[in-house]
Amino acid sequence: MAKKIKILIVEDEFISRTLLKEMLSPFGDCDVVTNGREAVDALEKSYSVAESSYDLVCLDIMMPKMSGHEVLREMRRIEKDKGIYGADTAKVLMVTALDDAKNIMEALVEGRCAAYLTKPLSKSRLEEHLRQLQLIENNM
Amino acid sequence: MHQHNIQHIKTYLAEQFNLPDEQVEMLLPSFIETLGTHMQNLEKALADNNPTSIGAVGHTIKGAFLNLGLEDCASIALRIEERGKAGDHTTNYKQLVEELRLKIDHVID
Repeated sequence: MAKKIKILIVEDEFISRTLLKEMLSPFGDCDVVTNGREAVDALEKSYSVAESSYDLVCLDIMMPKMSGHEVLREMRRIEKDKGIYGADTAKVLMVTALDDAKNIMEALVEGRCAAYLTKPLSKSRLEEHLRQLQLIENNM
Repeated sequence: MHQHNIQHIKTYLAEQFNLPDEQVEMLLPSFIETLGTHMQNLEKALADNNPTSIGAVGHTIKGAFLNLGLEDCASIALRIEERGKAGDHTTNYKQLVEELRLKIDHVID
């Protein structure tokens, strides 16, 4: 049986949040937060306890108060402070509407996020990303 | 004008997310309620006459429409978002929101 992964879903909109949880729950334990500040708190907490860091963070970009980009920068800073590098860092899947996809390119090119998923969300595209990121097996 | 119905949303959710019918039935009431809340937020932003707020709510509701398979509603929401974010005071936002209402009021009510 495949190893269950630990997932953090960061999304301020209820419908997207619910659908992401529906799609990701079969593959792991999902924590769900609704804004960037809660995301940073959850990430800090996860790094402070052994073996509890997230394998995958699904991060919405446009959120009030703290954007997904700001969360991502903060997350990578915390990882650096904790001495977490390379393959040990969490994989980040940024989520956005198709017309906002250009906003992700900087994070993608600089390697801060592994991939992006556009709305409308799709189960098949999400699972394809999970396979590419080697978070689930090819036969899943 | 094309009006959407609940069955269209149910079919979309079942196909796009591979959800069983019982799961769709369970999720749908909260999704419809959320759409209603988003529309109220849009009208509040409209009443405040603040394009930036209108644009932000337009962005949120656009994502919700896309995820429910309501692409034509999402197109209107995108226009609201783009013009709001640009700080445009000349756009007739009220008319755009009215267009949305005509398409989805019977779903929300």
